[in-house]
Amino acid sequence: MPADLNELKPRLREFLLTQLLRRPSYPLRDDERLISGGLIDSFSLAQIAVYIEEAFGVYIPDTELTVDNMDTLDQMAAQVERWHANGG
Amino acid sequence: MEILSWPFAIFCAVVLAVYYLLERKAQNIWLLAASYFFYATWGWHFPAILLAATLVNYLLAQRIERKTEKKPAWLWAGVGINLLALVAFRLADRMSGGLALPFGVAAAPGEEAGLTRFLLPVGFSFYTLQAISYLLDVSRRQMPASRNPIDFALSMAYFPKLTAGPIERARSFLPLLAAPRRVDNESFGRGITLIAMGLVRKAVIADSLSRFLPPGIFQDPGTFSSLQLAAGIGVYAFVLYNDFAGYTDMVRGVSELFGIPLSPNFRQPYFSRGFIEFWNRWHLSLSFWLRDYIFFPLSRALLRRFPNPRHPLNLALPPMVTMLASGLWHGMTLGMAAWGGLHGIFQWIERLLTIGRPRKPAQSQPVLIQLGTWMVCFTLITLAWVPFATNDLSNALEYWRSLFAFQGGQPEALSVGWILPFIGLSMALDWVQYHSQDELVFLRWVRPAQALLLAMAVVLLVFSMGTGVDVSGFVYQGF
Repeated sequence: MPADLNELKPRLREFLLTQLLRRPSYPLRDDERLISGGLIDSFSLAQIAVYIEEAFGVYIPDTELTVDNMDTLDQMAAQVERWHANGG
Repeated sequence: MEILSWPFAIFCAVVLAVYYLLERKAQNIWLLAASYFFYATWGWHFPAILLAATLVNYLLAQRIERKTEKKPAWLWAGVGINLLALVAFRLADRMSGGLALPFGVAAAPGEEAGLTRFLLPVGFSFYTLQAISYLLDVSRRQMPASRNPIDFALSMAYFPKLTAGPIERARSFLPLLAAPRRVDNESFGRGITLIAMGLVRKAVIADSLSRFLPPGIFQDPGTFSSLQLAAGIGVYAFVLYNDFAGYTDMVRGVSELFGIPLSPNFRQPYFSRGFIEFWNRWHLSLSFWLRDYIFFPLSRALLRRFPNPRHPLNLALPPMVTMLASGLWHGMTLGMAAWGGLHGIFQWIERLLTIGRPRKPAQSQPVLIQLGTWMVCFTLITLAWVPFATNDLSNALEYWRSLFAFQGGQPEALSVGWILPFIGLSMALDWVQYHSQDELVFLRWVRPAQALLLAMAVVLLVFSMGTGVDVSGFVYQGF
């Protein structure tokens, strides 16, 4: 069952910290640059996209997984909401 | 008509002069006509091939857009036709011996050095990728099929990007062609700066450095000393980069004068401290195309099937398939496959070393570690250029064998004192752009500094031309 979108940001943050950055206590800011800051790469973006599909039932197209759309936690959450609204 | 030539400069001036006099709709028709004329100067039959590719993809996209049971069949037919045409042209070109080889290398034994017989239409590999992404994006409902044949034809044929990219996606490029365009002082300044940077990279750095590549070094490497081979591949790395980055800067600059911005292709790739980072800095329009249409779909499909990201297939398959596709796109030879395969292995190993470990950005590492990782990456990337340069696996193996045989000898034909200033200039240009995170940082300098820089660029250009540098064609026009 897809998770509630109200839990979106905390769940995304937890996934990023525990599964990708492997630093659960890292003080990740909502606007911290993850791709352009060198913290995550295209392998990680694929993982995030699949996590979003499974946790929230939202499909973000491959061509939208860009630094312009997915660089920060804020941007990731906005993309999930956008594609949820689009029936993604 | 070579991009770096007086006829092209005159052609651009004429096209621009008429363009500014026309209203927007007429501007697109004029640009389309100019683009087909430009293409005809490369080969009388090339416009017919481009027109056929344009018509087929324009009609197929409209079929694909319809919600019918046959939609997947039309999509695969479209992708298949484009890929088959690319493979067929590449094979025919290879069998005819007309493969474009850079820097004075004979296309076939006995032929004049530098001669290229383009059976493969110049630019075909570039606009084929644009067409495939268009069909896929229409199929995924990320854009509507174009109903404007002029704009669609122009998106395929637009002359600044026709021969060697950047590879623009129809999804972002068609709206640019439909929007009102205004060329003001700012875009004119960007255009001229890009053209000047491109000229310096191509005519001053790449073509000057290519003079120091001894003839035959990539065809008969066994006859050269280890020192010559090491210097040779190091020089080649900077020749290739500045040649392609110079081309891209120039065509982007020309396009700015028409009020149509093109995508950047490079972000100081030789400062990368990782191989994944390198592909986020080198030939971006191709790299992102491969990422979006091969790497991501494959990675996501595998992760759904094998959720553990450390599964060997998740680690190895996406980078290997993506980079092999990149190699074969450059040429259907074992040499190009080896070059792509090596980059696939580099990314696989990098992922293997970093997955499961706490992630820190490269720039927050101690300086010595940053320097060490940069040196390892730069060395391996440079060594991987060997099969790219030889375009032949047996010559590449011979090159590496002779390089690591550590045979003595002086780098006679490679005068280090002459090479280093050009490599230094390339690195200095990159350094300024890297630190400001702005490729056009020069436009923010005070006027006297801008004037001094422009004067230096002119002096360097005149000096390079005056010393008999052969301003040759661009390497990537051969792909």
